[in-house]
Amino acid sequence: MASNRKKKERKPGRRKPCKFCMDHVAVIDYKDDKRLRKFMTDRGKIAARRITGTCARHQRQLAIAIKRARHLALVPFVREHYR
Amino acid sequence: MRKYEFVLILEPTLDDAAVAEGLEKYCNLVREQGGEISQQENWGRRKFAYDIRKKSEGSYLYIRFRGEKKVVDEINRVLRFDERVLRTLIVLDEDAEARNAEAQRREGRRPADTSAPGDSTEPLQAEV
Repeated sequence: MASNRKKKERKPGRRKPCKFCMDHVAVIDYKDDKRLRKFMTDRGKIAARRITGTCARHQRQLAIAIKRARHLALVPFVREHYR
Repeated sequence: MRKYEFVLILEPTLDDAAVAEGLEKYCNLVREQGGEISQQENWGRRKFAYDIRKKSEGSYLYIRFRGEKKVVDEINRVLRFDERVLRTLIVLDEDAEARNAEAQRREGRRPADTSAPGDSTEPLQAEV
């Protein structure tokens, strides 16, 4: 993959910002399936914090919101055959 | 008294009138049990993310109310006999929209750069 593209110097310890904190989200809404999908893998799993940069507090809320949304069939459960 | 959110999903075979009637039915049930409704909404027909009882879509109804726990118990009892209902969810209402709007208003007054420390290069803020 484009190795000549400027390699970004990764400063150690640079943390990704939590998107929910940046947007000042107080309560993660399970009804907002479009937003929840952005924090799920294409298999339908809940994406790890190290991937998304979500802070601990929001990750806990997010997990609950995604599970509620799954119950209402707004977002999928984990599937083997997702293609 | 607590605040609740109540979502129910009805069969896709029902016509608009039947869906509206279903919404009325559960609103009335809440009122009969001494609850007060603060919001009732018909989200309309939506595709499911996965099939429920071999169906790929359904009509979503949303009711927001205040009441004692017995209201919830009664709703759950009635739901057991209602075959037109595919799925339900009753959770404590955390006032998501209102509290988020409030948080934004509060934070919005501060200068824009308060958001994330060490995020000078790319603001990643996109549309999330």
